Amino acid sequence: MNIIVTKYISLQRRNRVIILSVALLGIVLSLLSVSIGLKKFIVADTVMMESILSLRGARVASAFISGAILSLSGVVMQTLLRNPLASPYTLGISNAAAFGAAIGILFFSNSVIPGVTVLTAFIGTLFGLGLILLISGIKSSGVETVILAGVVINSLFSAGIAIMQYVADSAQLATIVFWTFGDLGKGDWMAVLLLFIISLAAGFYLYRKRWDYKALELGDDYARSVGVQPVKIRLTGLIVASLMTAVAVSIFGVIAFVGLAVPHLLRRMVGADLNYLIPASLIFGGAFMVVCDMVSKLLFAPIIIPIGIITSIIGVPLFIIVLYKYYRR
Amino acid sequence: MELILKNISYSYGAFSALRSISASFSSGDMVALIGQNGSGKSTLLKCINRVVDPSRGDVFLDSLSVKELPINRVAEVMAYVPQYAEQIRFSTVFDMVLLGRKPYISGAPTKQDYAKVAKSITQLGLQELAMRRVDTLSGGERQRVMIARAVAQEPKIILLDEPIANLDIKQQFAVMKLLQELALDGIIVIVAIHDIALASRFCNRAVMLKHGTLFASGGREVYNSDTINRLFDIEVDNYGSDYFDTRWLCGQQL
Repeated sequence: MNIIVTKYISLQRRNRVIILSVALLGIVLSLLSVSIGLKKFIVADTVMMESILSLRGARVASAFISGAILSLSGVVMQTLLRNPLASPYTLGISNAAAFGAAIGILFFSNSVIPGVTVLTAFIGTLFGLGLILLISGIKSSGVETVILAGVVINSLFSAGIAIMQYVADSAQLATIVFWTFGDLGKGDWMAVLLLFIISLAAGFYLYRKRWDYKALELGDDYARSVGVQPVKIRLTGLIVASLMTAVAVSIFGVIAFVGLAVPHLLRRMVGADLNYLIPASLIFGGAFMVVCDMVSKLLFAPIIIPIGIITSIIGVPLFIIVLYKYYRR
Repeated sequence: MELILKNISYSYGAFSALRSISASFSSGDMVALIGQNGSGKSTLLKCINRVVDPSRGDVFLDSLSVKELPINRVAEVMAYVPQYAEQIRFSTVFDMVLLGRKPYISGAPTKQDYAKVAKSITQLGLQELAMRRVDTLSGGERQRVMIARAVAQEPKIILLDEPIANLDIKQQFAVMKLLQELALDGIIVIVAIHDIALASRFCNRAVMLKHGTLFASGGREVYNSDTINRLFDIEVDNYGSDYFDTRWLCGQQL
């Protein structure tokens, strides 16, 4: 075999080893997260033990899947928009969900519909996504217009949330604020199953399109020259990434920085090749969130710090380190 | 293979960028696309491989209209090296060249794809840089990577938009020589270029555009002072022999 190909294949092998190692680490961390402090319950009855395990298992699974979804979404958005600052948070998707949730908390808190806040948050996200597409112009949406539309929408929903907070009573205000911190405790096994199916389907779709996305990274003209339709591919990719984020954010609330920081960290670890970046983002994003969840539980135990605060505390310095190295030649 | 342009016109809104351009080229032709900034060179290249669809007119590959061909089939026949290429951070040279195999890859690249990438990397003399990150390369090396990517596409036609802009004379000469070798292998090479001396040295054909219209076309005979002066609205004596000879010699010394 040609020496260049041999070198390339060994580089790919290295990437596979990294991804596999992170996957194993993720499993170990997840088991650790479920079992921390479990000893004191062992003497108690089996039913209690089972329910504790089930609750903790659902929380860890929620952490893993939401982390996987947010970081995959970040990878796809940064790739399709050719912008290192693109993420569900910076494009306003998260704030649109928060605005929807605030509406639900303010106007439908007495509704008989179960999970009405989740529903209004999801509708809010769809509305936000619709506005981004409308402003950027569906047919001619260039990269810059989509990003600028996202920034504008982000500001719009921030203002919307502020208004909701202003008119809310103290109990509603506390609920809205708490919602924007993110809470992994909201996820039960049904939510986990739903998110698992959605992330699997979206991940499969996005992975299948990876060659189109790679071509798009080199500019729309180049993409067209190798048979890719830039507007169609970009829009469908953004819609899929936004929708899977919408479901996760609607259930757990706003979780900042995962979608922004993890993709940058991964590019340093496995390179920019989407063959590896997509699966790595799912696995590493999941493991990262499990770690954040453990920190949130252990930092001021028995008080659990909302996950959104921890992801920011860990994510910001991590992002600064990555940025420093990212821009250093 | 024959590439035929029939009455190609293109407008950006009310601005008419190209007006009824017709020309034909055969395998082995190395064509210089020459003209002032804004004369329509880049637009014509994009019309040829359907990066943009002409407002009027058609492009034919032998007797087949490009419009009728699936977009992926066009990509198998024509490779395009854009003027301003984005670079992917943390991407290796091999990965970048592998993208040239995009029209052939469904799912994952095969061993044949890898072999063809390695071959074009070797052809462009990039062996030592194959595993290097593209964003750590010099301008000339990046240019060679982009051409390697086009070669890996195994096209019958390569369209290059100012591939030697921003390169030093040595690199310019090396890139043009490389393109000439591709043309000698039977590929139609169409290169938008500002350097008349290098164009006359390497390109056996020329298409000259002025304000979106075909100003002149033909073989080496069109590279003369009178045509160049009228094309660029300048008046330079002995632009032909003196200027061309100096640059030619310069190239040979390199």
